[in-house]
Amino acid sequence: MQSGALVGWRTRRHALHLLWHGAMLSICLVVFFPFFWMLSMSLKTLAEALSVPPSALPRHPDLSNYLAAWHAAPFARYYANSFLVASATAAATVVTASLAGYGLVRGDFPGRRVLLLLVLASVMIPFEATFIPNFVLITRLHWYDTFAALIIPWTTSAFSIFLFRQAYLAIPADIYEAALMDGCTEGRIFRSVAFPLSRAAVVTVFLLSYLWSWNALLWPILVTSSADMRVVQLGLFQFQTEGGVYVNLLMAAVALSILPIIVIFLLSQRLLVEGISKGAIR
Amino acid sequence: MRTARSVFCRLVGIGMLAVLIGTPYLTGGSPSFAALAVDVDLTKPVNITFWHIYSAGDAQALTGLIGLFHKKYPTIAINAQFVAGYGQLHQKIVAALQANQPPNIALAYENDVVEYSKSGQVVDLTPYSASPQNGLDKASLADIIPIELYRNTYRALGTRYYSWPWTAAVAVMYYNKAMLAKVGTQTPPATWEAFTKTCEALKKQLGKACYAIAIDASTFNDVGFSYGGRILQPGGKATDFGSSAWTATLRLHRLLVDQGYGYPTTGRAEIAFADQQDFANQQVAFIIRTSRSIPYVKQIVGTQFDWGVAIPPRAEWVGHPVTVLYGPNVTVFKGSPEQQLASWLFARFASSAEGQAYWATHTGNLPTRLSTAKQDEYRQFLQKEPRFKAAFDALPYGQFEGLVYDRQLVAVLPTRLRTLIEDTETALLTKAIGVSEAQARLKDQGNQIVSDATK
Repeated sequence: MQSGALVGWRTRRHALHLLWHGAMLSICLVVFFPFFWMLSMSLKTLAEALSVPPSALPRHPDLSNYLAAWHAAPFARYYANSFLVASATAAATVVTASLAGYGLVRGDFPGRRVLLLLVLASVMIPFEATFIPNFVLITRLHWYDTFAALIIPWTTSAFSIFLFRQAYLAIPADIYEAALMDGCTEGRIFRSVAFPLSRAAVVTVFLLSYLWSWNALLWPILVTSSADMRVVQLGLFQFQTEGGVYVNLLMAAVALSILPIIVIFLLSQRLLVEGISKGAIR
Repeated sequence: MRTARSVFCRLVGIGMLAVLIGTPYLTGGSPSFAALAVDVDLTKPVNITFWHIYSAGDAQALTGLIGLFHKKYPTIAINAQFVAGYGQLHQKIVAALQANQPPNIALAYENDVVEYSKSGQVVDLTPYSASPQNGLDKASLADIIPIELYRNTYRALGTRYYSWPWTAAVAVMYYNKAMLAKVGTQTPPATWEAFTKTCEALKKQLGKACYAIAIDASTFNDVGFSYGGRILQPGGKATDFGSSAWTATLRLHRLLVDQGYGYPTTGRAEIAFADQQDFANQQVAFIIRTSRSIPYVKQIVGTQFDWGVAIPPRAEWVGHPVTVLYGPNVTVFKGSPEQQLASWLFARFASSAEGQAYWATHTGNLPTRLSTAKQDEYRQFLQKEPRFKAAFDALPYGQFEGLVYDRQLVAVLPTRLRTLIEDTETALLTKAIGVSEAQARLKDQGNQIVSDATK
């Protein structure tokens, strides 16, 4: 009887595992399909890319679309600019948001709660409501068509501040107290205790800021004019004409543009998931 | 207990806040110019910026056009800057106007120019066009297609030229010659009656729908115009959507879907130009699109089948062909007198027969001057490309969607009105509403929108 129950239990367990993995596989397929389709389209001719019914795989895969896309605009320069801007923005965001988040946790000043609410409320202001006054400010500062215009306005974000705040709140108060008793100043506590312990949040904020900066389109269009200052996303517009979209070349260019993001994500996905989930739980 | 350090930090914070708030007032200020003369000296180098949306082959053509201009005016350097699409271009210009740093010249549609003019920074090109030294003589003005000059004349702004013709396109019907031949038709239908008969034959004999209907206000308006309709009643205070012409337009659309002759490309990514895709794959025999798509359709069809371009059908009782005119213009913004003149000279050159011949040949746009066809380059191009010839022949029949009437009012078609037309067309073609309800919606909501826009 006992072995029968055990076999029944094992069978149920296997069945649940199969169901679970089946569900996960389905979700993976749904998530992965756009990437597969992008790669498939990038290897087709224009006529084949627009064929009805569409074909899943290219009949004659052709890598020349990548060369053609690369040469359609100065993508090497665009890549370099996007890399520089995204890296600088992400690094600066980590610095400013971590300091702000720490201040909101450890600071003891009047209006701290109100300040936090104001920071969170700013998330609800859409970009379209602020881009004109921001652009005016950029021109007044003589930053138009410079890296300063691309980087500095985005060196912090309310969401990043919130993530860091949550990470610092997750550190037990005893650790802060112990550091204080050891004679550390708040600055030393931040540098030596809080910041190192918020590694997951650091990676999350860096990656998200990097991604947002890399994908930005309208702001770079607004604040740049010379070809030397343009970024990758603007280069993708080369394939959208008044008569139609060259989808095969566009997909090749898109594949090239998301490659760095994918590489960075794959290298740091564990820490990224940890950072987001810790913030959500808290 | 406040330490000196915390007081210092607070003072720094307050100081930074003051800088952020005060900077616009310290460093700003709008430029002011003395009364501007039109015909200034251009012997010294002048640099102007031109904001546009041309990429790929069109960008190369623009470089070539600027090169031709530079040969005539070697002291004028044009910095042509690509600004993605029309939406992004509009946003950038609006922001630049707020910052008093607009480009010298930019592509713009009429409704954009009306909006830009509120900044007071759009140049009135009338004195430039009338200048004995740098303007156009009567013969040259008369050579420009009248509707092009008309739509660049802003009657609500004093009947002045606040933009200038740049390029044109018209709505054309793309048709699959091979499919028509299979049902015994050798020529494209010229009337909607012949069109529906052809669709009936295609449906019966080939089992295919004949027309992929792109949800687009301009295409819808083209059908309305082809029934003798108009957007606005004389006076421009109310729409004409309650008239019998629009009833016929809505009935035609509904008939096409009810009989299975046509279908809307609703719900499919518009950026993929779904109707063009279906045409290239021989799913349908007809689409109605801008003539700007001819080069693109040529690429996607290749040698799969023979196809042509014709002016869209019209109602039998309308005695002449009708189509819709497309195409951006250029507008000039205030700068130094030299920059303004240089910008005007570029606009003038681009609209000349030489400039139009080059531009039309290299981009597939249509010229804004009929005499362009006499230029060797463009004449030979039209001989080699009968599809472009068909589109060119349709130019004189192009109607401007923002056209108003003898009361000398200009009411450009607001975006809200276009959205209303497209939403109503979608609802009609997906059978969510009937013809009567669609017409009532267009009339009532359209009148409200026009009333709001003309207050």
